[in-house]
Amino acid sequence: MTHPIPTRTGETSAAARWAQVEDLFQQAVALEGSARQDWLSAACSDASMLAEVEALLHAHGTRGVLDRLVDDVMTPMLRPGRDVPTAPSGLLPSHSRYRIIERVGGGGMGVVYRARDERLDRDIALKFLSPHLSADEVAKRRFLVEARAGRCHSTRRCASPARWRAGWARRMIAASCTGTSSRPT
Amino acid sequence: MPGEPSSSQGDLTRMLHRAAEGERGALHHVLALLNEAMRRIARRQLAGEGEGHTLETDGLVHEAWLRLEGLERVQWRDRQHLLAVAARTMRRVLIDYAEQRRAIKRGGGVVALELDAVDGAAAAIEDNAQQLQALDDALLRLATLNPRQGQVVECRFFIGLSVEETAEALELSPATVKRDWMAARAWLNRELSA
Repeated sequence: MTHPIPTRTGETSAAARWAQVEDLFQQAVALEGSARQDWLSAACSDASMLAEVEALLHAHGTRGVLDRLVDDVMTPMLRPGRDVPTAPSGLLPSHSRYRIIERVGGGGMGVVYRARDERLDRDIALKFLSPHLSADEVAKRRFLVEARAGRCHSTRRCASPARWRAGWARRMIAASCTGTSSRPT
Repeated sequence: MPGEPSSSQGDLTRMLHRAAEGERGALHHVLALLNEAMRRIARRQLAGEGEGHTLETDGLVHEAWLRLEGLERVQWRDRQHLLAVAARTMRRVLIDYAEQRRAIKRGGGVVALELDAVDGAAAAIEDNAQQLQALDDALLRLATLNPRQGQVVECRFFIGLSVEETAEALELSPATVKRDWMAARAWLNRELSA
């Protein structure tokens, strides 16, 4: 539901309410699964507060309008000419265990997204090599070395080194090159 | 305008200091430098370095620039302050552009752009004009709840600053920017999905 713009007299209480909701959200987002739910039930003072925080948590874990605007409008404008993937929906197959949520960074080598590993139910970082580097053997080797080393950019959680195995890295390269391939090569 | 505006950062920083110290004419020069910088950014962003929309984007930036309230009274502190103002300006440029495009379509007019002249960026703004305006409205609401979070979104979204650059621009810690962005992103996505 879209909230109306608070009137001047209501601004203080609305801001105070938002501060409460945000504080609960920030604490809850660090928890997972049943631990999160148990904590929320105890911490929220009423049902509407609980519903608000849960709605925020859902939005945190979901790709939304703002994320689509970043990828479809802002990134092409702010980085014109950079041959980086800007259509995350085409980067992974529909049956992938990973669900892209938001862009968290990018550079000359590629772009990094926060994503959800649906199988393990946790956030990870997904890095895609820029398409223009897909034919560059040096860039691909560096990408693989980085993947094997388990290094990734700023996200709350990163895939473990074991998960950054070569097969996965190559699959990411393939996905970034064609936007369709899903099979490890 | 006093002299030819230069876009070098060194010039701008020096002129900002001189303007802040009250030097006569310095602020005018700063505005010229900023205007040129913003026009260049807009040309790159809205026209994709092409030639076709130069006049149009120049006009948009100029109008957006004039709309900045009390600009002539701003005491420019430093480059950081400039970044925050640039983010606000870009917001106005994009939202105004989106509104113009929507108005043309609402009025049944033909959008006066040749298909092959429309670069991807301008087309993307048009395609998402309604959502950009909804975002602008939601940002107004967010600013009444937490003005700092509104500023963080402006820097991160409208000029693409990183967490660290946003922290520098707003004189905050990176940890604060991360928390603000996480909360604001979730709140905005919830509002925009309604």
